[in-house]
Amino acid sequence: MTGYVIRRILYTIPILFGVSLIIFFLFHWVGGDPVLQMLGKHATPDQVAELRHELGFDQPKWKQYLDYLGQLATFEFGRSYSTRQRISEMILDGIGPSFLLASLGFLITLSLAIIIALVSAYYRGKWIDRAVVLICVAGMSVSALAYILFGQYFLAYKLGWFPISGYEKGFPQNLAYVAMPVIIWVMVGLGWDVRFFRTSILDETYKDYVRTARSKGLSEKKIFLKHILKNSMIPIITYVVIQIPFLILGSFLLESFFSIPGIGSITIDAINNSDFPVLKAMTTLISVLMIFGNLMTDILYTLVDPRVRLQ
Amino acid sequence: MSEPLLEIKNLTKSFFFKEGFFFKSVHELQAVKEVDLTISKGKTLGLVGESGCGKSTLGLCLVRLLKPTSGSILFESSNIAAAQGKDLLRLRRDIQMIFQDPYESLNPRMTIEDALVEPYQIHQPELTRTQILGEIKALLEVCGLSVQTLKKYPHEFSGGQRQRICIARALSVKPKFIVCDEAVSALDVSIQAQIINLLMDLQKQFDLTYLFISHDLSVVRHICDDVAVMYLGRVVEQAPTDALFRRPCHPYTQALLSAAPFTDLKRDTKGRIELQGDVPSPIQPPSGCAFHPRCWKVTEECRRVIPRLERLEEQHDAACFHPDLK
Repeated sequence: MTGYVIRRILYTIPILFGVSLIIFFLFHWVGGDPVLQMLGKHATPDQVAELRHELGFDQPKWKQYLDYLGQLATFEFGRSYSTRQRISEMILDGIGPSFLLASLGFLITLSLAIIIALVSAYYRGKWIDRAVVLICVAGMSVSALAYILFGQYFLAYKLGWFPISGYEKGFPQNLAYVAMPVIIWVMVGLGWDVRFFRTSILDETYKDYVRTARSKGLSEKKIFLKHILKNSMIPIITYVVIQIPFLILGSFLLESFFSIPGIGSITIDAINNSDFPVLKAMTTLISVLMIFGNLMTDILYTLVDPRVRLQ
Repeated sequence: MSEPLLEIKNLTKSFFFKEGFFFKSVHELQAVKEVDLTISKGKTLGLVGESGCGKSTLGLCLVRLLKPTSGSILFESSNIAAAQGKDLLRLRRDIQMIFQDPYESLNPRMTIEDALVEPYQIHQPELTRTQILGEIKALLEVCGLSVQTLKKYPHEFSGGQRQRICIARALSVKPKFIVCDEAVSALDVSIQAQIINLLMDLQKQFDLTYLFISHDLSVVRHICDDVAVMYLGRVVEQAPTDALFRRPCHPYTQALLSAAPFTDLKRDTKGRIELQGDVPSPIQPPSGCAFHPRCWKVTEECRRVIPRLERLEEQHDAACFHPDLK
C-alpha cells in the first residue's frame, strides 16, 4: 500500500514536466508578445528592447524555461504586470474567499445530493422518484446566469436579504457575502449531482449479487445500505474527488459576478489586462491541482475497491 | 414414488409493462402459465427448454424471489406462494438457489468470510462469531475449498471456485430444497463435471432435493431423476429421465432431443428434426397449442384448443393432441 502510494506520487513528476512544457510553449510561442501589448502601439524600438531585457525575454528560450521551472519549484512567479503585487501573495489572498465559497457550495451540494439521491433510488419508479428526476432536469435546464440575476435583483436589491455583491474579510461578515453565491452554487449543481448519484446507485440495484443478498433473507433496507450503497460509492467517489481542485479555484463566474476577490476574480482580471505572469501562474496552479486531484482519486480507490490491484 | 416435497399447482407468473408515452397501455406477459409440477423428496427434477421459455422465472417463483401471480406452491404441505415477512424469512432457510453466473452473484466488495457469515447472522443470530466461523470452515471443506478462501475477495477466484463458494453460501442455511438455475452453464466443461459431482455428493450427504434448470440436455440426463420440458411458459412433457430421453412423446421434446448430440440414443428414421421459424413472442402467444406454428403434426384442433397435460403412461405426461405412442 505505502509502496503503491509512493509510486503513484513519483508518477506525477513526469506529468508535471509535460504540463510545464506545454504551458511554457503556449505562453512563449503561441500567446503573442506581452511586451508589445504592455507598451502599446506607439512604443519606440528602444523602449521595447529595454523592457524585453528587463523582463528577461531576450534570453535564450531554454534559459527562460529553466527560470520557469525554478518558479514552479518555489511557487514564486514574480510580480503582476498591472498591479506590481507579488503573485504568490495574490494567490494566498485569493485562496481564502475562493475556498470559503467553494467548500460551502461543494459540501452543501454534496450532502443534499446524496440524501436526495438515496431517497430517490430507494423509492425508484414511485412518484417521489419521478418528482425528484423532474425537478433535477428543470434545475439543470436553468442557466446559472438566470439564478444570479434573480438573486441579485429580487433577493438582494428588492428584498434586501443579502448584499448585492462585494466581500469583507473576517468571520462572520464574510459569510453574509458568500451566502447568496453559495445558494446559487447549490441550485446550479444539485440537479447534476442528484442525477449522477441516483444512476450510480440504481446501476448496482439490478446486479446479480443483490439477488443473492435477497435470497439470503436480508431485508430490503439492509440490502440497500450494506450491499448496494457500498458498491455505488466507487463512481461517486471519483466524481467527488475530481471536483476538489475547484475548491481552491472557486467559481470564476460567481466570483466575478459577486465581486468576491478570489482566485477566479484574479484570473478574470488577469485575462482582461493581459497580465502575462499572473495568467501563467494561474494556469500552472490549475494544472497542479488537477494532477493532485487525480492522485487523490487513485489512492482513495485502493481504499474502497478491493479489485484495484496494488502491483 | 417417494413423498412429494414440493407441489406446484396451476402456477402462473405474469409481468406487466406499460407502453406508450401519453396513452399508456398495459401489456401482460405470462412467463409461466398454469404449471403443475411435483418434486419428490431427495430427487432431482430437471427443467429444460430454450431461452425465454420461463424456466428461470419458475425457479425464481419457487424460491420466492418473485411472487407468483396465481396458483399455489405447496412446500411440506403449506402454501408458500404468498408467504411474507417471517414466513418468507423462514422459507429462505428451507429453499435456496444457486445462480447461473458465479462472477456476478457475489458482492465484489465483500470478502468471502463476510458473505458467508451474513446468512448465519440473519437466521441464527444466537451464534457467536467463533461458532459461525467453525460452521463455515466445515462447510468450506465439504465444498472443496480451503480456509484461506475466507479472507479473499470474489475476483481472486476462478469460475469453478466461485461456484463452490456460491454453493457453500446456499448450503449455509441447511436448506431442504435447492433451485440450481443454470448452475454450471457459465463454467468450462471440465469444471462443470466437478461441480456436478459436488452437487450430487451433497445431495446424498444432506438429503437435498434439487430443481435443476438447464438447457444442457446431457447434463440433465446425467443427474436428474425426472425431467420436465417447458415451451413458452407451459410444461409440455414430463417423465422419468430415462423414459423421456428414450421415448419422447411431445413433438417439441422430440425436436429438442434430436438437436442434442447423443451417441447412444436410438433415433427413429426421421433423423434430425429441424423446426421452422422462431419461438413466438410471449406477449402475443399463438392461439391453442403454443407450439402449433412450428409443429409438423398440426391440425385444426391444435390451433383452437390449448392441450392439457395428460397421462400417457405411468408417470409420463404430455400436453399434445397427437403424442407419439409406441
